[in-house]
Amino acid sequence: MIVPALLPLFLAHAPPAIAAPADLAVPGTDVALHEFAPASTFAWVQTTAHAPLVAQGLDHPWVAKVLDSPLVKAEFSGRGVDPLAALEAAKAALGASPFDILSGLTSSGIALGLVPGFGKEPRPFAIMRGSDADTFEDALDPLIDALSGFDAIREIAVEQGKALGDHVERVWNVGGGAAFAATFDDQTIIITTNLADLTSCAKRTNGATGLAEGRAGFDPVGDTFAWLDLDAIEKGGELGDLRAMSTNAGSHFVLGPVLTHFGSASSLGFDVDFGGNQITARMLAEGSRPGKGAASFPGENRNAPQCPTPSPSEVGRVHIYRDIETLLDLRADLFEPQTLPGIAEGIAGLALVLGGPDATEEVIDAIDPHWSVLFNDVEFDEAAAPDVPFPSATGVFHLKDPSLNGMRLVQAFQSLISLQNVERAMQGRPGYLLSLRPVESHTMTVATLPTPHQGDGVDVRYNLAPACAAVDGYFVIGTHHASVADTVKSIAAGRLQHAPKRSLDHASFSARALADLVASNRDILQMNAMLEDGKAKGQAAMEIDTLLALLGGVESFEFETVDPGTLGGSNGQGPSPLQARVTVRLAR
Amino acid sequence: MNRAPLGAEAPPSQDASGGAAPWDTAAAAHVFRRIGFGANLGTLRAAVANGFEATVAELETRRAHDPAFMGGSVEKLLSLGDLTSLQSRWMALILGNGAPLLERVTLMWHGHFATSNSKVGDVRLMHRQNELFRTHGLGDFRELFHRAAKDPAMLVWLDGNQNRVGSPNENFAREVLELFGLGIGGGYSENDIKEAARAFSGWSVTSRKFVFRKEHHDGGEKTMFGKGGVRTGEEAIDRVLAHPECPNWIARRLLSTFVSPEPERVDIVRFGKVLVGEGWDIGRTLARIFRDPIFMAPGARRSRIASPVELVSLVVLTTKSDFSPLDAVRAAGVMGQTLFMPPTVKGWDGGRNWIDPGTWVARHNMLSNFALAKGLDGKAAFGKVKRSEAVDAVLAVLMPEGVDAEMRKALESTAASAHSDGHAVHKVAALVFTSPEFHLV
Repeated sequence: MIVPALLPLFLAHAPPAIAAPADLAVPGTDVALHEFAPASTFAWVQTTAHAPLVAQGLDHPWVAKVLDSPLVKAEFSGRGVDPLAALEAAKAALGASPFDILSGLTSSGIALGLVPGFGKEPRPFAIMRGSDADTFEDALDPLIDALSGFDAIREIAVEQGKALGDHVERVWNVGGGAAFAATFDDQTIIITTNLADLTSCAKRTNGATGLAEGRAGFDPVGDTFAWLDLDAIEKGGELGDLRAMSTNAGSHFVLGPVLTHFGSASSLGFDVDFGGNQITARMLAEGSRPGKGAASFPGENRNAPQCPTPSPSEVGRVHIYRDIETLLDLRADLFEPQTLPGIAEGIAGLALVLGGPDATEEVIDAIDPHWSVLFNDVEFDEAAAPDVPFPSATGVFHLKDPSLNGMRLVQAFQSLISLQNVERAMQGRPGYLLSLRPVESHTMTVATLPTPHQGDGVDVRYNLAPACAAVDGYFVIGTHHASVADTVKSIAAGRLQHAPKRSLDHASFSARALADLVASNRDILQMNAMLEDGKAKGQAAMEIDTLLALLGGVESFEFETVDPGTLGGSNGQGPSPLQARVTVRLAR
Repeated sequence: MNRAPLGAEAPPSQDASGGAAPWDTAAAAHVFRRIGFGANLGTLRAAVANGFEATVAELETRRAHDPAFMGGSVEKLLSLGDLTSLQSRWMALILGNGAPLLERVTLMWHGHFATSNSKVGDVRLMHRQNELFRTHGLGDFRELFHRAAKDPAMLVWLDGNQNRVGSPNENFAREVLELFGLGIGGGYSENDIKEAARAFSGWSVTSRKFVFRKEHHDGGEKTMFGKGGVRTGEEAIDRVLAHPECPNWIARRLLSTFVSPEPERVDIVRFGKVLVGEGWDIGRTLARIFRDPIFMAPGARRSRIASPVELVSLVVLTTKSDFSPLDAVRAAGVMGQTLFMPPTVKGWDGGRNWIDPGTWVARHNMLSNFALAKGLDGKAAFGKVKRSEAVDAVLAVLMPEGVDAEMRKALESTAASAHSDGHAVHKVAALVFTSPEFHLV
C-alpha cells in the first residue's frame, strides 16, 4: 500500500517548510471554509498542511525524499508505475503541472464533509480555496479544458448558476451528473454529489447559517482539523462499541477515566499542529456525560505524590490515575451486569493472595490512585540474558499506613508466586525461586527462574524476574529485580520529582530507546514479517529501515489526557471538553 | 547424496506394465507433486526440456533454503515460545521450495515418528526433533530410528521418561514396535512390548537433553521375538531393526508416501530388500523408487488424496501466489493438519480420512476464496489470456493431464458466464480447485 508506505517517511524527516497555521478565511473575505458547510454536516476535515508540499511539488524535500525512498520505489515498481513519467504525462494532458493546479486551487485550504444521505449512505462534499484570483484562474482553466476534452465536465448556463446566489461565478455538471461543482468570487470551489447540496452550501454566501454556529465542540484550529458529531452519527446506530466504553470495566481500567468517557461525548474534535520542532495532535471530547462515573475523576484530589527521577536506563514512564476503589464501589451502577461476576472473581482472587484483610476496604483503599510505571533497560545476569530482551516495567504506588499495607502487599506477592509455582509444578515445569535481598536498608523480595543450562538458549520468559519492596511510604513492584532495586535506591535516597500536574494520564517514551529495541531485534522482526505477512526479505528489511528512519527523526513521544477539573463535581456533567494530546518531538 | 547405479532399473518413461508413457508436462507435474510439493508451468516446461533424470536428480539434491529461515535467528525466534512461529518457519521452508525432497521427507517422518506439542509444550524440543528429521531423514534409517527414540520431545510425548525398573511404562516401547519399527501386526507379541519396556527403563529427559538414569534401569536380560540377549534400549532397537518385517514396514511407508497409498505386497518386499541392500539409506532407496516403473505408472498418478499441507503448498507453488506461511499453516490447520500437532501417536491417518464433510467444506471454502476473492493472481499463474483460452490455460497449470469431456464442458460454460477475461480465469480456476480430481496428487 502506498499510503502506509509514505506515512513514516513524512514523519521521519523534520519538516523544513511546513507553514505556520493558516487562516482558512481568505484575506478580503470573512467567510471561512467551514461556514459553507450545511448545518446538517456531521463529519468534517480541513487542512492547509498540504499547501507548502503542493506549492513546491517535486522540489519539496519531503516529496523528493519520498520518491527517493527504496520502499516507495519498490512499491511503484511492483505496480509497474514510474511516478515521474506519470507526472509528465499528467502535465502533458493538463497543459500545466498537476502540482501547480493543485496549489492554485487549494493553497488556502481544502475540506471534506459529510451530510446525512437520503437513504443509509451519507453524501460527501468538498470545498477548496485558492489564494488569489490570477493564480486561481491559471490553475482552473487548464483543468477545465482538459476535463472538457475528455467530456468529463459540462458547464451549466449562467442563468441556472445564478440560482445559487450572487457570489457564484461558474457551475459545472461533472461526470454526467455524478457531481456538481461551482466556483465563487472568493476563489472557492464547492463540489457536491447533487445540486441540492450545492445550493445548500452556496446559501452561506448569501448569509444563511453554516456549520460553525451553534455546533458543540466545533473549533477549527491547527493546520489540520477534523470534527465528528457523535450524536448525529449515533442516530444511524453506528456507535455501539464507542458508547459502550463508558459501561465497560476493562475500558475504565485500561484507558482511564478521560479516554473512557470520550465514548459518551456528543462530538469529537481533532486537530494537528506542525509547529516549531514538534507535531502535536489533540483530541477534544465535548459534552461528555460520565454520570456516576464522574466520581472516578480526581475532583479535588489532583496532587499526585512524587515519583522517582529518571535513571540513565529509563526508556519511558507513565503516570496514570486509576481510582479502583471508587470504580469497585460503584460497579453495580457503572458496568454492564455481565462484567460483575468477573470483577467479583478478581476480588476473591485478590483476597486469596492477601490472606486476611478485606481486599477492597483495607488494601485497595490504601493505594493512592496516582500510579507511576517506569520502563527501563535491564542489565541481565549474563547467564540469564534472554535471547530477546525487553525493557522492564516497574510500578510505584504511594500507600496509606505504609508499614502495615506495605507488608501486606509484599506478602501478597509472595503468595502469588507460590501459587504460580504450584501450577507450574503441576505442569512439570520449574518454579520461581523466592529470595530476600537487601537493597540499601530495605528488603526486596525477588522471584527468579532457575538459571538456564548453557547452550540451551534463554527463553523470553527470563525477562520476567519479578520483585517487590516496601520503601518509605511506597510499594514498588516490577518485572525485573534489577530495575526494582534501582527504583528502591532512588526512593531511599530521596531522588523524587512531581509528575506533570496538568495531566491526568501522562506517558512519555524516548524514541532512541525504542529504536534500539527495534534494531536489536531486527532479525526477529524481519522474519516475523516474512512468516506472518508473507513479505519478501527485501521488503521486510526496507520496512524496518523505514521504521528506524522514523524513530531516528524523533526525539520523544508524549501522550497525555486532561480533564477540565469539573467532572468530579456533584452534578456529574462536564461542561468543558475532555482532552487527549499526542506530541512528537522531532530530533534536532 | 550417493545414489545406486540406475542401469538395473526399467526406464522411467515406461509404466509398470511396460507400456510407454510420454515425458510431458503431465508426467513432470506428477514428479514435482511427489518428490516436491508442486511446480508452476514454466518449471514444468523446463523439466520436460531437461528430461526425467535431470529433473529428478535436481529435486533430490537441491539444497537452497532461504538463509533467513536458518541459523541463529531461528533460535531467537523460538525463544519467544510461540508454536505458530515454528509452524510458519517450517511452512516457509516448504513454500520456499529450496529443498523439496528434504522437506517432503521431513513431513513424512513427522507423521511416522508423530509427536505433538500439545503434550510436549516446548517449541525448542519440537524444533530440534524437526531438525533431526531434516538432517537425518534421507540418511541411514537405523541411525534416524536410534536418534528419534532418544529425542527428548519423543520421550516426553510417549512418557518414556516415566519408565522405571519395577514400574514400567509401556507406551514408548509399544510405539517403537507398533508404529516406528514393525507396524501393527508386524510379528511381535505383548510380551515383546513388555520386554522392550524393561530395556528402555531409565531413559529420561533433563534440561531438554536425553539422559540415561542407571538407577532406574532394569539391567536384567530381556527376550524379544523369542531370542534373549537384549539388555539396553539401544539393543532393543537393534533387535527391532533385525526383525524381517522392519525393512518392509519402512518400505511401505516410503511407497505409500511417494508412489501409491496402498502399495502391492510384492513391491513392499522388493523395496524392503532394496532398503537393506542400500545400507538402510533412505535417500538411495528413494532414488531407486523414483527410477522404478511403478513411480511413473498411470495407476500411481493422482492416486493419493492430498494432505492439507500438500494441498496448500501445491496451490501456492503451481500458481506462484503470494501466500504468507502463517496463512498457509492456518489454512492447513482448518483442513485438518496442524503442523507439530498430530492428533494421536499414530500421526494423521491420512488417505480417505483427510476428507469428511467438515474438512471438505473447509477445503472448498479456502480454495474458492483463494481463487475468487483474494490470493490468486490470474496473470501470474496462467498468463494473460482471453476468455476463450481460459480453460486451456488453467488446465495446463492445474491439471496438465486434462479432464474428461463433461468436466471440460462445465469449465467452458463457466468461462462463458464470466463478465471479463480476467474473471473467466478466476472462475475456471475456482471450479478446478474445488473439483475432487484436483485433491488427488
